[in-house]
Amino acid sequence: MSQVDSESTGGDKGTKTELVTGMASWWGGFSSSPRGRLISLFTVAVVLLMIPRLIASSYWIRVLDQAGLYIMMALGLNVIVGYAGLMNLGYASFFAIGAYLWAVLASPQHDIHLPFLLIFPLAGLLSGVVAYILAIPALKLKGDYLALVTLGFAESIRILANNASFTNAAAGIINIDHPSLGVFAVASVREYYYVVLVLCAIEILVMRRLENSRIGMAWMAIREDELAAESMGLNTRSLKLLACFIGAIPAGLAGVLFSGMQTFISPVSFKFLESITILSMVVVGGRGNAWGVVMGAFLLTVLPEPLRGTSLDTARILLYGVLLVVMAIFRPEGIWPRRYGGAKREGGQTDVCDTTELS
Amino acid sequence: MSAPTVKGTGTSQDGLRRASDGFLKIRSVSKHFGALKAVDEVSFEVQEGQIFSVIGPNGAGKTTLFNVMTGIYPATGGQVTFLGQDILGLPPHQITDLGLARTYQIVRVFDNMSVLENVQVGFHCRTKAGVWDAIFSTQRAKEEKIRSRERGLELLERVGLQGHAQELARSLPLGSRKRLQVARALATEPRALLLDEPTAGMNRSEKQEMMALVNDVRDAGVTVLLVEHDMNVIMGISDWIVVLDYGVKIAEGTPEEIQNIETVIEAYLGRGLAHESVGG
Repeated sequence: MSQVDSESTGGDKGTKTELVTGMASWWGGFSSSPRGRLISLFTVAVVLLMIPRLIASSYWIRVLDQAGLYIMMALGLNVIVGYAGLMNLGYASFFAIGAYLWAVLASPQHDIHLPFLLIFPLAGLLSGVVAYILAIPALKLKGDYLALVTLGFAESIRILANNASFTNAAAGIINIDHPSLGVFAVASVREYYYVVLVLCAIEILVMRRLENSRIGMAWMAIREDELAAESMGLNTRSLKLLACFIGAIPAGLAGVLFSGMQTFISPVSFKFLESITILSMVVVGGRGNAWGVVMGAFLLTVLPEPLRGTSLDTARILLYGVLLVVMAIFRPEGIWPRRYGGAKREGGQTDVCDTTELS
Repeated sequence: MSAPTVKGTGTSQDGLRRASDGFLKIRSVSKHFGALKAVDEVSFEVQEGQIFSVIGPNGAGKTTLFNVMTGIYPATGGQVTFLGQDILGLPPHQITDLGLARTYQIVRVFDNMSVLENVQVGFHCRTKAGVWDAIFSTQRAKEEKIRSRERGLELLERVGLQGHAQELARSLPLGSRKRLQVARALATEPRALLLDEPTAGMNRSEKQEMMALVNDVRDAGVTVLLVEHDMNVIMGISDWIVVLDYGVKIAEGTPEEIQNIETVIEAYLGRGLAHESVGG
């Protein structure tokens, strides 16, 4: 082909095509070799660590902090919705539990100031346990009814926070402590950046390992065909409960960080919109693929930012809804699904997305 | 319908009958859906190492019986004993764990997982690595992963799918999907395998291949219980046959005996024709 091009339009175009193809195949070989992977990873890590120094605007660092928290949460929801294929429209409730736990136990509100290193893991555990307890009856429901129950639960949490005196009702809690890791206080957005970066990295590693493990495979089998999975010896009930427990933990952790970072929380941060936002990150990014979800969370936090403050601000909210519908119709498997040997993966059985025959 | 059960007089059943608990015993099992008696007081016994077929016209209750045996439906009455254990009322995963696996008439494979992964799911109940093992990549996790992959590829080779290991299960044609189901069920290391209409929708050569596979499975030490609709398929391969009609057992015996029994022919072809074919 390049031969023909160079004859008709001159040698220039031909060499350009060759150059591009050559580079593409070199990259293909490089990125799949172990050495290539290590180098890529190292480069990315260095760049990420340099970012607070490279970007002057504190505003954008804060946006990255937000993106990091969403990445943490989307990865958690991905366990429930992406791996196990369960429905959850109230993930923000676990976020709220973590956030309020820290706010109540580390602020002037009740004049308690418990240490971060104690409350942080406890928040994760509490969210997990609450999700587990909720799932015990909830998972006996199917489809729409399960979705409604998770939604109803999230709303009850928000309404509880909005009315209870120990959460200072609608006014919220102010002057929340910043976390301190021993001698290091985490106060500025740049300091938060490093904490969030490390936690995201750890979580991605954990999720990738789960994804490719016996448990991950079991979850996916349940997602694909629960009856067949049960017949193959999988205890589907306990595996689904496990998915709910593990999936909620990151939300509790992110909640604590959110609380500390904002130093002020109120029930408005935990509305239904929040749950839908996180869900759309999972769906758009690629259900069941950790890296896809990371990308989805990042894009959906960063891309709408320029719209904030402009006349299209409320359009941001519309954007998520439209995006969910568009993805469901044209690409239910997400932008970056897991792929095998060339054949593309479909969205699988869900109650949110239709399985459309694309291949 | 209460036609008297006609038992064959073949020696195979008598010779192997033991006083012990037996291998797989179905005693007076019933499954009623309201007023409909889908399965009505069916009893038979499967000996280890047999290829045992349950046949009957459409709606005879064969699949319902399988579903009751494997814990998909609760039974209305009766008892099923497998390797000395009462299995009625147990959840399906526990029954599989005890060594009784099954495949489905309408193929249920995991579409968005690879062919190899489908089989590996079958090993789940025979392996132990949990969340901790996964996250910390323990020795147990690593060893089990290697073993499950090796065994998976072995099983794929046995059913003739080794070239498709990395393909998505959804891209396989029907015959291959059926064989994948068998490989996946074999991964659970069963003592007995229930195959629900394994040759439905297949052409003649595919049916022959499937039956050769069934023979292989039995020769490897797994007792096979077949539900089948196609008489030709099971006549050549079965050690013992039970015939159901309208939820009731109407005959049992060796293939030769069954072929000549009037009630059986009646069930398939209708009355009147039966007299002609039996020869007066």
